Amino acid sequence: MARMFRYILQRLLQMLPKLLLISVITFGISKLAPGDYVSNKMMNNPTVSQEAIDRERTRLGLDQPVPIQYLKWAKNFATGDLGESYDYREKVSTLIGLKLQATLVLGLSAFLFTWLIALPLGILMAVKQYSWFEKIFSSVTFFFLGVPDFFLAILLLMGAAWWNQSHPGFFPIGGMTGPDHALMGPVQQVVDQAWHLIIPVLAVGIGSIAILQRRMRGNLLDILGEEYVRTARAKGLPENTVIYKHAVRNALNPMITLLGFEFASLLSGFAIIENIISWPGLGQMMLDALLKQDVNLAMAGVMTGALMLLLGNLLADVLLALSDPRIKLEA
Amino acid sequence: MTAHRSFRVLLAACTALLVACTGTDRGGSTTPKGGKPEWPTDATTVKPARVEAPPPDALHGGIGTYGGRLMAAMISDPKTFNLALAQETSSTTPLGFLFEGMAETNALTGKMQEALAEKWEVSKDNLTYTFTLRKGLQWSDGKPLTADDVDFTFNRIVFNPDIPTDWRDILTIGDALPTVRKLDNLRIQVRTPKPFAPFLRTFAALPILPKHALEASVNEKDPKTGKPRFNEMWTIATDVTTIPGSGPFMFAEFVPSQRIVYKRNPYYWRVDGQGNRLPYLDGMVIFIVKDQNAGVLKFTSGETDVLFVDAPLRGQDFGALQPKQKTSNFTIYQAGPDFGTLFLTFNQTRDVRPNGTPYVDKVKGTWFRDIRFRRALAHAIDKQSIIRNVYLGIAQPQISCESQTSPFYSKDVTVYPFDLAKAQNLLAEAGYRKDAGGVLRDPAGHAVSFTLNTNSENSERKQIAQILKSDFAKLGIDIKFQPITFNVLVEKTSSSLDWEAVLMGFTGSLDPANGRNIWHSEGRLHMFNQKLAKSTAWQPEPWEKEVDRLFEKGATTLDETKRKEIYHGFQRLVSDQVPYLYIANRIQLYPVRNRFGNLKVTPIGGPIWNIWGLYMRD
Amino acid sequence: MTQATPAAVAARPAADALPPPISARARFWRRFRKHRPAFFAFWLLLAVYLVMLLADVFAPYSPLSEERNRAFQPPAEIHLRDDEGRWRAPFIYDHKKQDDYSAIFQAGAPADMTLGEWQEDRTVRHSLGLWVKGEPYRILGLIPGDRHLFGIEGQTAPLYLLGADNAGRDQFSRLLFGARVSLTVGIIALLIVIPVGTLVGGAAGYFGGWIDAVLMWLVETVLAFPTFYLLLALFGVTYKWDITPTQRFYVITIILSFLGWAGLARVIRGMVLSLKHQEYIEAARAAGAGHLWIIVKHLLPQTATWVVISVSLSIPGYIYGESVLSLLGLGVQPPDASWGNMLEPALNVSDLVTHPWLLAPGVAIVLVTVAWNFLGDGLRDAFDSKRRV
Repeated sequence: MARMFRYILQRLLQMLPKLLLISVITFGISKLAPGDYVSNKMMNNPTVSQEAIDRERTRLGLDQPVPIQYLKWAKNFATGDLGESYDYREKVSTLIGLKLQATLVLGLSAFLFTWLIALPLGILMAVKQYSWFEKIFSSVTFFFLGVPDFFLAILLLMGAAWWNQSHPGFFPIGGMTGPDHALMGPVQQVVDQAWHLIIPVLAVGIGSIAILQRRMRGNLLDILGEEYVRTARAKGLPENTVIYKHAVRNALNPMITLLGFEFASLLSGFAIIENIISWPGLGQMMLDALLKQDVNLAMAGVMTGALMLLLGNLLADVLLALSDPRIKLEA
Repeated sequence: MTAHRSFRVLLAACTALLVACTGTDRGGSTTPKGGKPEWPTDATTVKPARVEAPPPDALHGGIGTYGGRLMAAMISDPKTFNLALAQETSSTTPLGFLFEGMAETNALTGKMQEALAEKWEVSKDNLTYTFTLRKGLQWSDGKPLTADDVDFTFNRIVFNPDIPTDWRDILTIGDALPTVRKLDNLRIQVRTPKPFAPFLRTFAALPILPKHALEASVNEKDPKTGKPRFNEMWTIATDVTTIPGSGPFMFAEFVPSQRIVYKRNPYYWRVDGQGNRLPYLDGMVIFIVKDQNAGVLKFTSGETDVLFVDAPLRGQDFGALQPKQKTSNFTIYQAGPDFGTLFLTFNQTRDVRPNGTPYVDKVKGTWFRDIRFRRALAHAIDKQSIIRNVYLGIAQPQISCESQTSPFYSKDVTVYPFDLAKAQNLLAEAGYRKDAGGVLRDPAGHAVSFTLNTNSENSERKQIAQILKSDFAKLGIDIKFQPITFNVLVEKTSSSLDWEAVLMGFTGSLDPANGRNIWHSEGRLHMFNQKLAKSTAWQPEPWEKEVDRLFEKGATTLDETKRKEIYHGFQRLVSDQVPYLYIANRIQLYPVRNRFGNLKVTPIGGPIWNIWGLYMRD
Repeated sequence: MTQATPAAVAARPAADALPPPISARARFWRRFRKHRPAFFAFWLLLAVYLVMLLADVFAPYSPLSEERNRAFQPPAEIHLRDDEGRWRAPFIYDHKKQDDYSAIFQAGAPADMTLGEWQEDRTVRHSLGLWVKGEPYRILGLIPGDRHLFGIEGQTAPLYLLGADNAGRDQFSRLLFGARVSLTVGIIALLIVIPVGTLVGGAAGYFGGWIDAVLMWLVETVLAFPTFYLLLALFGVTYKWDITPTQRFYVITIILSFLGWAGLARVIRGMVLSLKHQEYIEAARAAGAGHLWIIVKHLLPQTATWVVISVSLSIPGYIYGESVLSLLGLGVQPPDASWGNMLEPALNVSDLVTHPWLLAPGVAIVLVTVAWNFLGDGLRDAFDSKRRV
């Protein structure tokens, strides 16, 4: 266990130069694109004077050379100060705090929804390969795999709106809570929130179920083809024991790597969908910041995304090592 | 440790987190009584009651009944609740229900009328204005609203060089600012540096901010920046219930990216014909929907009463919503053409870069500066098809540079109907000939071809560009169409000047004087012949100088009829010179549920400008 | 904890080495054909790619030709019987629309105008023909011709099999031409991604030590790299080049695929890590086999399943990516057709309700995605040499 701890510590230390490199490159390329926050926001407004524009540039430090801008940002970032958003005139950390909850709620719900359905489904589909059950379900999952998620989101919303015409207010369109959420009792609040989650979770989750389910099925089929499984069968072990006790366990290993990726997407995965289903999450704000060149906010988004990915990878490696003793941790 | 166990641990952790996330909520909530939710008011004693104040003239129709909530939607998130610093409509629109100015634009007539001020007087020399506030005005927290607040708003905030507010730009006349002086508790005297026609519209309509809530933040400096703490006041992380307002509503709750909940301001100054204190409605909810689709579906689902407070309906949506009017109990109201402009324009600058190369290719520059060339192309814009295919019928051809809704709008301008034969003739007169291959060649024999840019985020403009491309091709002109992101587009038109033709638009306003930056030859948005700080070879055409003169005269003439004449002349001149080839104005349509009394949709105010007078009919 | 038993490990080299190549291929085909959906998907994709190549012939019109007055004309109904009920060769009726937008706008009034509807003009029949003369073309810019597989004889009326889009262009023709962008993007990208990804991953997993450390450092950095940011910057930079939006899109795809290999490399490395301790690998090394040989010949083939699945899943990923870029206004720009930019108008619910045929590119995307997935699935099953059915 002490070795594991040392390994994790080492990996965490290794992240620093990576983050540094990523921050330098991103900051640099963000300045490659023409225009800046001020030109985007104010230049085309007839009532704003040139002085006001220059003043704003000076205020935001956009009139200084790029390396200086970077060093300023990096210094603040290193001391834990994410700076202030140009657009919101508020601390970036506060802004993230405002929207983090929504993103996490959707991310975790979708995560539970997809994994809890996809893994058993994948196992079932592998066990029942070539059966009618498998054929029908693969067609269904393949269909959902084929529909782009943003398009699925729109179709779901349309379906909900259509249903609402005969059942007014049944499915709320957009948002995370109802208008009188703050006036409700705790139980009602949970119900209200869960109700608002139905469409978003479906929109985000259905496509992933299809993908995960295919992967799980593929892995398990691989394992079931292995010699030792056949040996175990030949020895007369009950089929269920063979499949669920031995094969499934090994088939889960490659899924763990995926888990790491999933972890990373918890915070940044749904920018476009969030927009379509009006989910009040981080992704939308960050996408906006990128497009508007609101540097501090965008960089915070980029760095959080990068950090989550790195942590996700570490998580995957650790889990993989814990579950498969053949893999040695080498930092 | 096995995969199984680590999974179980992880799932448990996730579930715990999820519960923690959903379980926590902001404090201060109360349980609903009797099934009907009610937002806490700290001034429950000041329930709607008759007040002794003369009703403002002709503000709204019938006497209504109290109660009910209006549900609406909005597309973008507010970025700040600090009105002085707000730069986008997504911030100013929600705050518009909280803050009022001394005067306001009458949404029916477009004229200025009294709001917080009950009257004003203008001195003989047109330089001094004396405003008198209504008696007994109160902020929504019960504190009195007096001349001190007005004095504070202008002298401490607007004219404060440490506060980056765009309001200062609007109020700058020539190079100077007006001076504002408090005479007594109710009277304010303002002196302008010179007569300025749009003064009332810009100055008196500026919202008044509460001194008692903001004074400390203006005095205190942020130790890090050395600027007033005011610059960080009232962000979207602020507890909005602490913001006192003078408008019909106050904030009950703001949930970022989800909704703004309003409740009645119990001290609102407006009363109805019987002296009942307004507003009638208990409150209002504005959902932030982010996406047009979600807004439309929310509306057809019956969740909202007004589609959008910040955007009219699109043509496509009209087709889908119109058949549902009866069954879903709503009406789509027309509010005339929108304020903005949409145009094709060419880079006419003669200016050269510091290294001596011209910004615009010499040959192309001569085409773009040739008025016959511009007129010919103006005739080659198939506005009817654009309206039919791009706006699905919900638009009108734009003929003048001023908004049709503006009192200064003139129809008496040169129009350029779609006529390719005429375009061909005009080009022939100017010496342009089609060669055997169908390529148009200028008098010197160069093939006519240019790059057209527009912002790629805007699918309507991209569609229009395609129509232009195929029509201009019929004249033998080859357009290279390059959609680019908005940032890049603005960069090109305002600083690098590295563009040939663009398709874009400006926001418009009621008073032409507000378009000074666009029309004045040295204006910041004088796009077709932009002067830069580093310009060496820039020169305006004589007619541009004439426009400068007209603008100067228009801004300093106070007589309404004379101003109209001046601006009509300006519109005629511009339509003759066609620096901007105008295309179309969308017709604003607002769907509203059939449940409100006193509803009056207008081009200036949109659907809920008189939210204080609306009441629920059922 | 179950692991590969010594017996299983020992048995494996035999399974991999023994079967002669011909019989392996035959077995592969037999299995593949047995997976009916995959087999069907294979032929479907082959057909789609062929039609895409020869779009000029298969499409009745060029993707750019527009009839402006026919924007949003609904799909043509192909009739076999005329109004008197007589059987005829396949024909269509033209569509007409009455629209009058003048003088309907009045501020403040309810908007109760109607905007006109398309109606079949039943007076004239326009018959369908095969190999009809139409717009001239050059197949892939080379072979000239003016015959189209089918169309309206004499071009007396337009044939909109899938309706017209917002500029009055034939959706069906655009769908065929648009496939050229949407269906090739993934293949181009994978030509870069797969070799780089598997080699880097294989090497990292195989060598371990500092090579692994360096490569994985690179992989993780690339993975964590904000692609979208790069994308925006690339668009900004490429505006300065004199290329069409479609060319720019390809350039950017290629640049981005040099970042896309990292995910694959990571997975491959993980697999190789757990594979390399097999005894026969050690044996091969002891026998003096080169490192590259071991990686390419012994280790990577064992990851083929994953690679095949990931290819079959990632081609649709690129089709999806293309449509997302169009959604953000950064993809191929109209009038050039791609499935993504054709789908863009369909993302408007109102348009979708009033002009449901705009959904066609969406259906095409789903079909091709599903086909690729079935294909991958079938290949997976067929590759799976260990499982005897």
